[in-house]
Amino acid sequence: MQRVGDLSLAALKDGLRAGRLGIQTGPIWWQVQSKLPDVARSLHALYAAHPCQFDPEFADYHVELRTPWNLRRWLRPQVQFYIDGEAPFEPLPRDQAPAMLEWGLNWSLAASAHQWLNIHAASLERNGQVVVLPAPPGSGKSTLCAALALRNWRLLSDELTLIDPDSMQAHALARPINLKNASIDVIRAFEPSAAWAPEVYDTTKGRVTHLRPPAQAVQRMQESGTPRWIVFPRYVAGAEPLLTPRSKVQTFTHFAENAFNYSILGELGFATVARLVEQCDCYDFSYSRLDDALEVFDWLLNPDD
Amino acid sequence: MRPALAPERFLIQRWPDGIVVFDRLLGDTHTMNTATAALFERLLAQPQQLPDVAVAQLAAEQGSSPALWADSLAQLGNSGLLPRH
Repeated sequence: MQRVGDLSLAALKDGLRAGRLGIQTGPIWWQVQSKLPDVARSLHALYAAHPCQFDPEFADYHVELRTPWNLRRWLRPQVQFYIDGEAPFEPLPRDQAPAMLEWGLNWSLAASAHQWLNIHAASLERNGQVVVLPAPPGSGKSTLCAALALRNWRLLSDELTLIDPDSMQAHALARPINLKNASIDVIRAFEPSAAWAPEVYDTTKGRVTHLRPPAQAVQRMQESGTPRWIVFPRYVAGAEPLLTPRSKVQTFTHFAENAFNYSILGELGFATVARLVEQCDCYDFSYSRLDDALEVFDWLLNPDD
Repeated sequence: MRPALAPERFLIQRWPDGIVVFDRLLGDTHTMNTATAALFERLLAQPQQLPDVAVAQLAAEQGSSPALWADSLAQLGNSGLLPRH
């Protein structure tokens, strides 16, 4: 199978321009169209290890990124995300196009991937067992997710965790990790060799960029894992690491209120969240130093050590 | 009209700190602490029993004042989870 990194940037640009390029992330095929050169450069950098195909027979989603045809194409130009020809949200400043593509892909899954319970959470696997990291913005979830993904844990997903209601397995998407503001600098210092998309400034989230997923996470993205732990991380400046058991009722309530499609799935959503919470050990975790956090997550694997 | 309280109407997941309940009829989810859960499950098992009688029984069994169950009774009432009489 050809991978995005096997293509020259010129070939990738041509494929994107013509809307002929399909890219696979976990169980999903995306057919992507864009004439914007920075989108091509970003995909080339972030998705180098992902399988790709020109003119795939089937794609789950057809998405496009283009500049709206209005007066603003000269004055403060913008970019618009389309899925199946529809624009689901407002345009953003033109220089945010690569980031908008990532957010648009997230939105597409959250809005319609109802074959899975779709949780707003990061997830990582080790030894077949999965830790799910649900958390509100600002909790340090993505920073912790990036650090774990760069140190022995296999990235399944940074933003969306997909749970199969039949098998209760968590699926991998192995997509780039969205980091913002100080978190970018923390992870740059933590792993200087990591690959990144260019930074974008002045977004609604501040300074943002995406971290390329580790190659081994992409190579193994067809492997699912069994959720074993649910950990709610919280970055607290100066704090010693503290892992405390969390109420299962409260954990259930969080998912019922924050899963993208809990209500849509109805009874199946309830049963899936109940099984997920039942089969996992649930914790709150506060931390300030990534090395401490890594030690605690290693302890989860071998609590008797 | 308020729908009847019948066991087949609900999915229940029990944990040591409470229960979560899915109402198949209305599509609602409810979370309950252990006290409210005890009252709800008592009423579900004996839907002909008046809620105040169920509270009195539970209070007697657990050696607590019926007044302590007021919040549970209110929660079930607000959620439409008290039996019709």
